[in-house]
This record gives sequence, C-alpha cells and structure tokens, in this order.
Amino acid sequence: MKQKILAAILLVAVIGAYVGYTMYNKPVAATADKKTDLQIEAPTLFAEFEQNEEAANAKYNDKTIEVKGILKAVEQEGDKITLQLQAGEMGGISCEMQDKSGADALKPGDTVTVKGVCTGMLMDVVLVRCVLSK
Amino acid sequence: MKKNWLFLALFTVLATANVFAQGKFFTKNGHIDFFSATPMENISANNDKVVSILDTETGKLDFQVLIKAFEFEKALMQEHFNENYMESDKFPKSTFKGQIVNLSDVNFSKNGTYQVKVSGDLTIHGVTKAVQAPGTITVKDGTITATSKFTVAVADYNIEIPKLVKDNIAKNIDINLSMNYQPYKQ
Repeated sequence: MKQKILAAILLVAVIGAYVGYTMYNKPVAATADKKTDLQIEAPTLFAEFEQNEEAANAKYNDKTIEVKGILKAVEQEGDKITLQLQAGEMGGISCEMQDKSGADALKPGDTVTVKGVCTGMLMDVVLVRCVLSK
Repeated sequence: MKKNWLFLALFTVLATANVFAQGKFFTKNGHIDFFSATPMENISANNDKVVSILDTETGKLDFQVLIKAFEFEKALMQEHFNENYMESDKFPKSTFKGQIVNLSDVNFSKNGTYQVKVSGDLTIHGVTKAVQAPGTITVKDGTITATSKFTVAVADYNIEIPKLVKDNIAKNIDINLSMNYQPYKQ
C-alpha cells in the first residue's frame, strides 16, 4: 500500500515537473495562430498615436492587430524584412515581418493587410512579428 | 574659356564632396540585443527597430528603442521582462542622447574604421544616468555603420529582480548595438 502511494506521489511529481518545464520553455506564439484583437486602417492608427500617444499605447500595445494600408516601401536589413505602410506626413506604420513568406514579392503601391503585435511609436508606429493577412 | 574650366573644376570638387558622408544620418531599423549570462541560464533578446540619428557635423548621437519590440525565444521571459522588470506599460521607451567625444578623430569624408568614445544620458525604466561607451564607426563610400558593446548594471536603473530568480539574471547585462545609417532626406 505504502509503495503504491509513493509511486502515485512520484508520478504526480514527474507530471508536474514536466508541465512546469514545458510552460517555462513555451515559445512566443506565432502571430498567425493568434486571434486578431482589432482591424484598422493605417492612417487612422497613425493619427491616433500622433494625437495622443499615451492613450494609443494603452489601447493598442501588446494587441494583435490587422492593419490595412498602401505599401510605401519594402526594406531589408540583414535577414529581416520590414513593410512600411503609408500613414502620415512624417511617419508611417513599420511592420517587421516574422519571415519572408510573400513579403519580398510585394511592390510599393500595393494594398496590403498586415497582422502583427503593436509595440508603440517612435518615428513610425511599430508592429513586430507580422504576417500578411489573406 | 578659362573661366569655364574653373567652373568645371569647382563643380567637380563640390560633386565629389557630396558623395562623402556629411550632415545628418539616420536609421529606423537599427539592431540592439542584450545578453544575460549566469550559471543557471542564458537570456537574450533582439530588437531590430531602433531609431537612431547621427549628426556628423556636431557629433550628436540619438537612440530610441521600444521596450515591447524586444523579442525573446520564450514567451514567459518576454512577459516577465515587460511586466515585472521593465514595466513597459509605464516606461514604453528607452533613449540615449549623447555626443561623440573625440569627433575630430573621425574623418567622415574618408573611408575607414574609427574608434570613438560616446558619452551622454541613457534612460532605462524611467531612470536617467550619465554613461560612457566605446564604439566603432565605419565610413564606406558615403555610408556609415556604427557598432558598440557596453554593459548596463540592472541595479542602476531601479529594476527589481525578485529573490527567487536572482541567480537566473545577471547583475550586469551585455548590450550590443549595430546601426546602418542612411543619409537623412528632408
């Protein structure tokens, strides 16, 4: 009987350790698998940040958003591709792509919808881990 | 006729001078990473969205980084970094505003690699400190790249690390910067 209890405790401990370890090492979720929190046009998003950065930070940061806009430029730096969407006079929406899939075939002037995680504004509103939405 | 030659010569000199790196340079896709090494574990994160402006005439140097744009391998690390340590909702940006101290050692109109010293104000987690860091500037055919390696002491910026994970996070974090500057067009 004692042995059975010990075995049970051991089993629970092993399962617990395994679950803990897996959770600890869980990778950052791929954007494609995440639910879209909201959809917005590029100029609207930029204008909201330009008018009240603090309020826009609270509203959009860490959210998975889909931004629709006109492509201004495709920038490549090292192995990272960034899509710049037209938005304001001084800045735009800067979307850092998760990988190259489809992004390098795009041309300035194309209308695109990009899904990514909003991180705030420097010169541009910055989205990271972006993927192209169908 | 002689005058024409003079004009042509002057024009050539001016046109050549334009090829060289002068004035303001900037990037929106600069790279920064940090590395925390302890016997328990190594933690690193990358950010490829650094905005930086370099003025070659005055030696002024600015950096801006969004804390939430740092990317980690593990979701839990990224969460703790943002929510517990950097409090990125409260302090969304880190900035550096400074100056190349030995600007006269750099010839922005001549290809070459130059060692520079940079000093200025570094703001992390809402705390501003005067810092100095070494850097390398490379001028090549009118483009400028810059790199720097320095360390930041976590305790200097009022970042509290809970006792439980204190052995997992280094007291001094290694920072790497790498910028490819483009001429700033207005």
